[in-house]
Amino acid sequence: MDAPRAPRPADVLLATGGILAAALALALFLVPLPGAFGPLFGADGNDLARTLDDARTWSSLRFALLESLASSGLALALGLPAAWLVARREFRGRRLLSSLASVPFAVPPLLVALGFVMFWGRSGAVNASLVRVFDLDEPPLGFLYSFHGVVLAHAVYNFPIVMRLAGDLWARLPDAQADAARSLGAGEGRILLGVTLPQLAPALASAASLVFLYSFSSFVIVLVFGAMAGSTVEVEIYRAARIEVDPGRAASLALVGTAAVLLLVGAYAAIEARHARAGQAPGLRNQRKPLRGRLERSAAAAYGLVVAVLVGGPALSVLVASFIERRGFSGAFRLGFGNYLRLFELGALGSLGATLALALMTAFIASATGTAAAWGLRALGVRGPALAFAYLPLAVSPAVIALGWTRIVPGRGGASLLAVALVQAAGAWPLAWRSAHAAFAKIQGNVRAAAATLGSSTADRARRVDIPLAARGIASGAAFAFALSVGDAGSLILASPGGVPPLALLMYRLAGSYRFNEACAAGVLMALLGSLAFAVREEAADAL
Amino acid sequence: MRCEARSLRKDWPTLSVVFDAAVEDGRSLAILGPSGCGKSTALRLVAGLERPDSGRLILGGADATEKPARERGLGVVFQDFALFSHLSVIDNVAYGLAVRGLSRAERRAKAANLLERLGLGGFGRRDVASLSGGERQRVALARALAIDPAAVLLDEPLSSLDPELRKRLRSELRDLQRREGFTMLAVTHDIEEAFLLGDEVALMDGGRVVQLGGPETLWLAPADAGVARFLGRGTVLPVLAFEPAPAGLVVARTALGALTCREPPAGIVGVPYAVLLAADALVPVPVSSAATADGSAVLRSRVVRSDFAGSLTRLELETAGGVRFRAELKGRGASPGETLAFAAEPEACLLVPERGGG
Repeated sequence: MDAPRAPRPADVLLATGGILAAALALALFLVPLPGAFGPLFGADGNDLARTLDDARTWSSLRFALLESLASSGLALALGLPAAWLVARREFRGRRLLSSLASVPFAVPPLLVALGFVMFWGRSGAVNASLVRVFDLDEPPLGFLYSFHGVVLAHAVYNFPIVMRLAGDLWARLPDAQADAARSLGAGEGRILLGVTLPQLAPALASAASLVFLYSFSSFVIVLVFGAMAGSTVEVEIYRAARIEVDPGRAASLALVGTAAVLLLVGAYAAIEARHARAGQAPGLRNQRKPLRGRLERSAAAAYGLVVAVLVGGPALSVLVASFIERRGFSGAFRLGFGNYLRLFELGALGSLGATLALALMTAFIASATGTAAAWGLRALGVRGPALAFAYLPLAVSPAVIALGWTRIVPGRGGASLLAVALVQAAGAWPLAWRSAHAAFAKIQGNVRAAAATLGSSTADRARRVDIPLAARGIASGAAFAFALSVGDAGSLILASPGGVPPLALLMYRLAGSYRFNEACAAGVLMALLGSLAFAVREEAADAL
Repeated sequence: MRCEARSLRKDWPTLSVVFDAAVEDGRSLAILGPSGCGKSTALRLVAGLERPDSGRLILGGADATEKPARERGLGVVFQDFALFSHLSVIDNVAYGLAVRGLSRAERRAKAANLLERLGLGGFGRRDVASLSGGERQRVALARALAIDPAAVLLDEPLSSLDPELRKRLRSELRDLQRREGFTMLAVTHDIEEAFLLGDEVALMDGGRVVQLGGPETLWLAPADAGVARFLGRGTVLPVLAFEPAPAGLVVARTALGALTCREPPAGIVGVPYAVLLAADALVPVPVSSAATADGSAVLRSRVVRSDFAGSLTRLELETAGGVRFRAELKGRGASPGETLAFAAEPEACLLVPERGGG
């Protein structure tokens, strides 16, 4: 009975406000575009031709394509066993494994890069142990600063996406087909390849293309490890804008990058649409069984060990290194809080303040505009494909947006924090919008109707009913934006703000000057601050 | 407040709803009909939650057709109660008062008083999620009553409750309506519920009100064969022909033979008719009797089905000619296969047009 009806004038007026907010959000990434692409139309009109002629442009595109392909392949290989374990088996540690799903969203790339340096690097934990145990003269592992290092970092960072998407579908796959194959005499391997994997194909395609997209537009990890091997377009934009100070080339690269990412986002959206359809059919969740037989148990244990080394190794290295105080170059060290104390001597308190200010600005801009837009679009009855516009910011790389905003909102001695917040808000907006949208969608029609019959105007209803009921969703969007801002070094490196550097930038600069232990201490502080957002969100949600 | 719907019309793709009904101040109207008959739409049109394509709504003598829902001052109780889950019981009840700008103390006092009257004293601070179905229903009603509504509209107010509670609450709801004296419109698909809740019942079918009247009128004088079938008082038999009859009576030939009915006040007009053979008005007679003293038909038949329901037994019977009809026996049961006879006196034979409104 809840059929659409013509909106009343007052609703239209209010919804217009929501649309304005949506427009404001769109402005977050539309406004910087002229700034980013402006130099293309400057006095020297040959920038685009010059850039397209440049072999570096093509080699960066080729490198990006290859490393993304390899990264998604490795992520699939790493993620599939996890998907099966999480979806179909019950064992101690299952929850821990499935909690890795938040890694790609909650752990900043710079922390991943630092973790890899501390674990796999030339003087990292692995090399140091090998040198000591086998009494070697040289560290044996030198793959980190190469194509392989980039791929390993991307795969370890993103394999939880495969685990999550494939696992969700795997948990809901009916057993009937596999049982039918079994009754016809097929072996388990044949069933996996011939029956199960094809059924999982939509989720695998969707996960692989997402990992591909993230790896293709990866910035910090490639910047750190790719130096000798190659660079992505994102890194090339950064070099052109900040190191070579060649705005024409930066703008041209931005155009190339945007075109490439738009293509990829289009492909992802197409795959995702098919995945969504395919995923709807099976409804029930299969019972998880305990691990069966020696083979299954030992395979699971071996896999667990691999994941523990790949994920736990770097994480633990950062934590431990932050408590190791180096004494000169002799290699002598002791444990203590020295690195943290040094950080505060360096002005980490100011950096904490700057990080907090930046994250609050980002969270506010993203969730205020996201919430208003979600509310307005709903009041207007906009549904379905028209909502896809919300994902547009994903199609424009942060490098491009950063380039634009820093031109528009300049600061003293570098970009202003506001410009950085605008860049980060553009990136966080789809998430903030989505959580608000989902929360509003959950409010039942009759609850709104009840408010209307009790005398609430549309605006009054928004204040007294809609927003309080959606508070949890809105808060979680804001928390995500906050955490994203705390950990985001990319926008800071690209925009290079003046004044006291936020923690992420401080950490990047410390690592850049080989003060790794202090960088690790900064990383630990950053991780603590980021996780604070989620703790506060729980508190706030409970209080409401 | 008096509430009158004058041909309120809403055209859905598959159904046109036209609602015509009036309920006097302090009285109650039950809107009854099968699912999909348009009764919920009718209620939403009155509430202002749907905009009518045409027609008028008159509230207390003033035209309220163009007023948005929030200005109509009608209290609505929704099927799922639609309580605000972020507010406590008392804040739910006080919601409409807050909107009207009452001070915190005033609205708390009024809401607490209302909760007391509805038997929810001491529930004020509770979380609505902790309430039982019946308690939620009363909170929803208190919330609607708090705004001193011109009328209270209830959409299937009891259908989300279990049957036992339902029976108790519908009597409570009716008592409350009488005691508090509010004007009420209640939508239901349950005949018994409609008869109990409404001073009058608007029976809807296919988007139209097919009969509006007191419960007894509907029961004793259904407007047409469709109404008679829906209310299920007995067996509806098409009239094959009319035969000569004494003044004031009509003899209708049906599959069960000639049945003597009272002549309708308007006389017989040229439309198809049917006879409602009221199961509760058939009189059991000895199987040997040929005809009653006043010449009413005696239906001799075999019991094909016997449903014992305590104070009475519902029977399905079949005549030698293979025609089935329903009857009721008070105080005793019957076994399938047994032969029984019933006298069909004029009180049990109601002549109704096949199609009303013609």
